[in-house]
Amino acid sequence: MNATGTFLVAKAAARVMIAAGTPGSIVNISLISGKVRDPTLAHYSASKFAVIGFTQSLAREVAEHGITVNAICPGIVATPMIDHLARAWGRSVAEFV
Amino acid sequence: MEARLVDGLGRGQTHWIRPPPQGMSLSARPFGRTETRVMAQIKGHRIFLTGAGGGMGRCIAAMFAKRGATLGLTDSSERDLGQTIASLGAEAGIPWSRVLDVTDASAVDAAVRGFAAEAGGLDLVVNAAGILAVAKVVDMDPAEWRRVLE
Repeated sequence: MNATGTFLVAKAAARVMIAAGTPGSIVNISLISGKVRDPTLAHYSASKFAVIGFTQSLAREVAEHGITVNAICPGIVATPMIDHLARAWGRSVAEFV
Repeated sequence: MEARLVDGLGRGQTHWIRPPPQGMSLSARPFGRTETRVMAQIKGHRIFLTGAGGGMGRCIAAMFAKRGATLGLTDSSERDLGQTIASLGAEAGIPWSRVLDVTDASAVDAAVRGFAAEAGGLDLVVNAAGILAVAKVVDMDPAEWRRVLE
């Protein structure tokens, strides 16, 4: 979901923006896992590394149309996803944030 | 101490703002000069967002709604999406929204085109949809790998 979803939405958006001939921006959310490798998150990290590689390649493809493509790699943000991770690791959210 | 506000404008910009007066929450403080400039940039932008039903997606939706963007909100969960829309408040109006599975190519295409047609264009797309799963590689089910990646 993390890699394919990003690809499909960016593809559809780039097609609409190019057809309209207007500049635009595509922002993909990676995560600090896209930079840092954590145990038990191999598939998640792989998906977020994929988002970064995809973003950089797409950015060079669509730059000529005035479309910018960027990825954001936030650190740990207190969300339900981090609750899930903390529970799986048997730690408290407060230790992460 | 300075409070830091990072806006997801896709340009890696960081906007420094003064901390709110004692006892006032950050969200309640009046807009400063930098913030006014950022609002002017975002106002009227047609923004398509995935994963808007929770976590960072909901937070991003609120940030853009507050700044006067025209929003297209999607999420795989109708209930979560409804909660996000309700949380935006009346001044955001009723944004365009759709329940969307981002792994469904034709549904994604229809949703992006549908929003762009309704809003009269598309300025920004934020891919906030994502899932997290926890497993050691030696124990990982290939189906779990595919679910996270694909």
